Amino acid sequence: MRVAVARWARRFSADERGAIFLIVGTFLILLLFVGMASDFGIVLRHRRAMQNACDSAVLAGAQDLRSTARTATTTAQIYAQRDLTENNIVWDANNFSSQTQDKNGNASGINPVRLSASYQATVPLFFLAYATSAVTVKVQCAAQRVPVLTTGMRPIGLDSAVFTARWTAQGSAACAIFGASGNPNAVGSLPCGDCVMTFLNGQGASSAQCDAAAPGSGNTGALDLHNNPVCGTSNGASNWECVFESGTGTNPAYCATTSTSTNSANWPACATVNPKTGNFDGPFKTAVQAVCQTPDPVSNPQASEWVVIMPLINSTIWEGGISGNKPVPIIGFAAFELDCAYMNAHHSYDPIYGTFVQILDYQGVTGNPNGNDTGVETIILVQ
Amino acid sequence: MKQQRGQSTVELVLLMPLILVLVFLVFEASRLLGSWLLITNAAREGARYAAVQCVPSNSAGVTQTCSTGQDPTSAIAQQVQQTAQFLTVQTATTCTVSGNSVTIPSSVTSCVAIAYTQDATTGVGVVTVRVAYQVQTLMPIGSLPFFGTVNYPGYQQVTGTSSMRLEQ
Repeated sequence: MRVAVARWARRFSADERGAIFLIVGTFLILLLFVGMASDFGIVLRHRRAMQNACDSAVLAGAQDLRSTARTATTTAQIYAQRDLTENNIVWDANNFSSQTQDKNGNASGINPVRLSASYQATVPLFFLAYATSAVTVKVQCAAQRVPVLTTGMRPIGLDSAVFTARWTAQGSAACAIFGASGNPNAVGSLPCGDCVMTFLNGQGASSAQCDAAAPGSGNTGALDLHNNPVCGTSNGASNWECVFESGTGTNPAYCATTSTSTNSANWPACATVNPKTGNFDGPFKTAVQAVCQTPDPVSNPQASEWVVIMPLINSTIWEGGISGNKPVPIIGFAAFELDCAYMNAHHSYDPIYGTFVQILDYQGVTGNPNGNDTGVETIILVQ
Repeated sequence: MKQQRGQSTVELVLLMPLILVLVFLVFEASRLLGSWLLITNAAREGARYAAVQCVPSNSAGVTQTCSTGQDPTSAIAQQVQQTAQFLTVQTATTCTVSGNSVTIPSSVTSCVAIAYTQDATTGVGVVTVRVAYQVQTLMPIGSLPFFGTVNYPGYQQVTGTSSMRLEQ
């Protein structure tokens, strides 16, 4: 057997017939590899450009998740088209899809924080056209709004020009925040009428999440924040809509008792603020509705979300069945971003939906669920 | 004429140029793709930086957000330069842009173009960063699909374009 193989090998090596065939064969195989490399490069190039366009699209669209002026998915499509066209990739709206999601990735209409998108395109092949004329490439991407923790941020004035701009440009509104009784982790809650709600920074919240232990109406009206010339000198709940849209003024002087113990340059030294008696459920909702139905808050296309600045007060003052109103100290602020897009779409402002985008420690508030850090939101790409 | 010794050597010599062309074609195509990826990534990082951190004033109605005393254009170009890493992107001269085609001025071999526009549909500001770079080819190859066209012999131009919405 071994002899036979050796003989065959000897004969084969001596035989020069078919040498050209071998060379041509090798050459064709080499050509095949060249073709594969080239086509693979083209596919890679398409996929990279499409991924870039997809990322750009969701980053742009995610800014409109709370917008009343634009829809996030529409914005994403516009940016996907723009980027693909600029990179000479064929755009087809039928191959683009996007949807808004909650933080767990489920399709949601309330408090959407994530925008995901996908695009697919047929990439033509050249060398491998004999095997298959084209391959379909699909890319997916998602962008999400996430809270950014910034240690040591000062309460008002901060180090952030963005926040100041929102305070003045988008209008600030006041809504008293009361502590939820029986919940040691909560600094405050959002009362709209006699509703008490706990909050966590960066989480969606609605006024439907009421605490059963909420103070009753009559004692828990709005804080008497006023001194905006537009709305007069005594607004409280009686002219809530105006306060909402015009803000409380840059230098509110509604202190019940003044003090110099506060530590913010942008907030007047104010030891306590008078509350208004009564249930301000109605005025608050009317105000939210009026705000949300304003298509463009400040005639500035850059900013189309409404952020409500809410003072935080010490919850213990309201517990224990107090009668009549009582001046309260403001111990911090929270920025509550209204989910106008959802409420407008359903023509309902009861309950009020939104997200606490920033919670500001002010006078050494304890029990803040996020410690001493305060957060602002940013948009990042996620898997 | 009956001698067959050296026949395969002659065949190899005849075929060698073709084989070499094929090998170098793959080599050059890979280099171009690699450069294109780097340039595209640089353009994207530049646009992201511009969208998030450094918007010059009076463009699309936005107030300046760059650090004080910082020239927005050079800051963005610097970001592009840093991201491109192995490729030295020249930022002294701005690219000539016409539609989607980017041309490198004759005096340089690479360029960056930054443009701020207002999106007609959504009314928001958009930054577009375009980076063009001439990859020196080792062989005189012609126009390749998708990679660009020959500027002059020995070079292939790769272009990266990225648009981002300003985050304000």
